[in-house]
Amino acid sequence: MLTQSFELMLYGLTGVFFALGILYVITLAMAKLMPAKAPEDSEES
Amino acid sequence: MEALFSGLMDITWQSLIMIAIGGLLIYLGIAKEYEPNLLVPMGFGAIMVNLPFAAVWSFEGAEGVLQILYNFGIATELFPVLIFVAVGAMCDFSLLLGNPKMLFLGAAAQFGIFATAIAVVVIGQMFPELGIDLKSAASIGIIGAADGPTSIFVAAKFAPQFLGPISVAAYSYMSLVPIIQPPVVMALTTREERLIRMKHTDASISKTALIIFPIMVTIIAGLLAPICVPLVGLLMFGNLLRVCGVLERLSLAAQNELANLVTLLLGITIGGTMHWEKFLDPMTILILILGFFAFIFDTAGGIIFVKFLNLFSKEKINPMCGAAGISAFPMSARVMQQIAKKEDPTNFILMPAITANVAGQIASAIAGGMVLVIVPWLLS
Repeated sequence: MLTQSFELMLYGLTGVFFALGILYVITLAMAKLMPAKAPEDSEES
Repeated sequence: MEALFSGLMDITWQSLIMIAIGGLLIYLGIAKEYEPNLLVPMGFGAIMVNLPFAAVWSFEGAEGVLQILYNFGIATELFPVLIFVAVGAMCDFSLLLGNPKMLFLGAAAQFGIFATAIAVVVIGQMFPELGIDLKSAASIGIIGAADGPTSIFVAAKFAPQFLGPISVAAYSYMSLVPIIQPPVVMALTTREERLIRMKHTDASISKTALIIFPIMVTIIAGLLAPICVPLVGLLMFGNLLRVCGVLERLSLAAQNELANLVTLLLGITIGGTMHWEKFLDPMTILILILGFFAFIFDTAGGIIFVKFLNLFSKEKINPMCGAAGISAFPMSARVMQQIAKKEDPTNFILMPAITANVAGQIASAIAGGMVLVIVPWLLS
């Protein structure tokens, strides 16, 4: 079970980083493809 | 006459302890203002269920009101996912879209989930009588998601018998972030690192990108870990209500009415699971101790990851932003800003810390999904 718990850490963290990595790439692409054109098109934070 | 005193005769010292614990939760909620929205209903639920005969749970063979709520909202996982709609409607992801590398800080701060699961397994092997298996280890580890709904979602699937203590630990430690995180930050960072200034670029994000983002996150999460769609999907649905610009009433309803109602029902129902027969157990003490360490491991994971990134990047990140990558939003970011301000009153890291904090929201839901996918796969 100890080996399985280490596998859980390995695959779990890899999975989280992989999912967020894909999201990172898509977010960068979106920033390039969809820049805020005019002030009224941007969201006030 | 005997029937009149039957309640008094039925009280046990264990139920008195649990009533005291319920009172303590109410005290912490009201006097210390530690997550009062949850701790007060939870404490009251705990008091009610430990009164003689626990009629609020079941009476004369019939389900009581709290058991009905449990079966309806917790066993089906309805309440935690509804809370996520509300959380999504409250989250502003525009900061994250402007600085997407912060996503990785959210991922690193999930380290506590897995480190704690390993610690639970080690303890389980030292004390086999505790009967710990991988599912219960993962359920205790998920306290490190620093996210109540995710903890409840995973625990309800893997270890419903520990749902009460896991929920209490998750919400209590979230409220104790201002006490838990600063010593870890001080131990793992140098003064020079804490003085690192971060540029806040006020990136203007197009509305189209803001609308596509929640849809995209849901699709990616659904493709990688389909089981986490109820969590990530409803979190992002709530966010779509917020950003689409045409559903303001629904967005406000999610942020207020839905959040308030479900929080109330969730709190009192979790309190209802805290009957002494289930709660006064060595496992409860273990869960409370390890939950505390889960938050410490999370904080350490985030800080060490940023220090590692700083070895290679020109533009240094303040390691305290790594600590803010846990999901306890926005408390963790505020705590980091307070520490930064103590070191240098002119250093403002609040915005990048909040960005990491928001990333932690997404990362914790995805991590919950990963745990739900990987554990059954490892056991098969």
